[in-house]
Amino acid sequence: MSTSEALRESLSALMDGEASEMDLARVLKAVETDPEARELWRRMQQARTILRREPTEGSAIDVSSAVQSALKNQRRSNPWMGLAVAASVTLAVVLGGQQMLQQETGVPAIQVPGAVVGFQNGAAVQASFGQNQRVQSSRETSLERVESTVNPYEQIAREQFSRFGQIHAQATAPLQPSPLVPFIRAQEPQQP
Amino acid sequence: MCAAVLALCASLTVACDLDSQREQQLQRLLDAHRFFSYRGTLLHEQNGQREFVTVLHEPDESVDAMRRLNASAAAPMIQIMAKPSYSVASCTLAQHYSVDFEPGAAVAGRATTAVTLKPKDVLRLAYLMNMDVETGLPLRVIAFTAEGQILERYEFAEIKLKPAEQDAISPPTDPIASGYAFASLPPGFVLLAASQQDGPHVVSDGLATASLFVEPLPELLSPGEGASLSGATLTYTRGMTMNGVGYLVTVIGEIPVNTARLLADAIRPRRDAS
Repeated sequence: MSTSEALRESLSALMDGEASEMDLARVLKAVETDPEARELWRRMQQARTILRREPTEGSAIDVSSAVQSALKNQRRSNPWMGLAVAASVTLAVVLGGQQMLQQETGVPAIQVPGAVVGFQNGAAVQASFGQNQRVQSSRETSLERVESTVNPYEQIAREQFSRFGQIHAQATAPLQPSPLVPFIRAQEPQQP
Repeated sequence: MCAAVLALCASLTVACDLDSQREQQLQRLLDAHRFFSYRGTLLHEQNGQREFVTVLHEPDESVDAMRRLNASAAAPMIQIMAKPSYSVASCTLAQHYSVDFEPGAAVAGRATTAVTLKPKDVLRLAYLMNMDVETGLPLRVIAFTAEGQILERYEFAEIKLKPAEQDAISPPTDPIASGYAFASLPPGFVLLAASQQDGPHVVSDGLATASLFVEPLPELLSPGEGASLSGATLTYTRGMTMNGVGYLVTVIGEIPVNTARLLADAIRPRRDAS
């Protein structure tokens, strides 16, 4: 099976709410890095909308349902699941944001200056430089419920640590008094 | 030798905040990993989790390896692609950290000196280290926030040390032209390596280090920021627009969040890069 066929199947599974963790991971990677993948998703979305005669925004709810399902079914014992859930939230942001922009009736975009940056240990810091932009709607969809509880950039930060932790260790270890410790840090400890 | 780390080495010529005895002691701590081979087991704690790790460090062979003893019974010794180690001048570090020494408790059955490295500003973490009296190697290290919250701790349970052949001081790659450049850097930090291909920009003050990655912002992801902390390692992400182009900037480092923000603030596309 070629990559594009695999991607197409994963997208179909996602749109049908039947995506596996592998599907979510594959789609996420593709839509982040490959403009053709995004275009493919748009075409499949349009085709499906025409076939089912659904309003365009309906599919956003389908996507987020898959995400919420993934969140509900999170199992710590499955290392893939953590990645997939993180991936799926990013996916909700990427695809969800796209869906919002496709809506013909304008949704007011509200700038929220000074976003609060949350940490895993519960501490919070007021952002002084960055600004967080949120889209608000008078009608709450399941997608927006996901967005309202998760700062996508926190999820992205965790994903980036997984992606780049080893590279950071490689780049900085030679200067450390304990050169092996950066490599110990780079892998997240296993959850009990 | 100092060509690639000019800014770090340049301070060799400035007045030192340390008297000569403390300067030499701190230098032993910074240099020990280049001059001694060791094999031992350390306990590493972060995020309320602890694990034992067997580590092997042979600078003269450029070999580093580790085995996570709690991962599985069959966990192998993993060799790490080690680069030649290097260290900075103790006086450089003393520009940004207050350094104190006092007799320390025994660690791994060895006598130690307790070293406190307290940052002089809010841009770096604080460290309490127990350095081996005989070799200068840090046998126990605790990293704190400026407020005194412990972020990470590691300590050798047992260690065998022997002198290594002195490895050549091999400074990091010369900064090269890349698509991005820092407009400025937080005080005390210098650029050690500029992004090559997909690699990061790497900055350090001689102890604290950070890597910065620039990627295209995923389409239609709104600007914003977020952070995640794992032990002493902060990962900070920011989506932002520069000259109408969206960028996702990621900073990973053993630094406070405001230092990461300053780094993300300062990165710019180079005008001559395109």
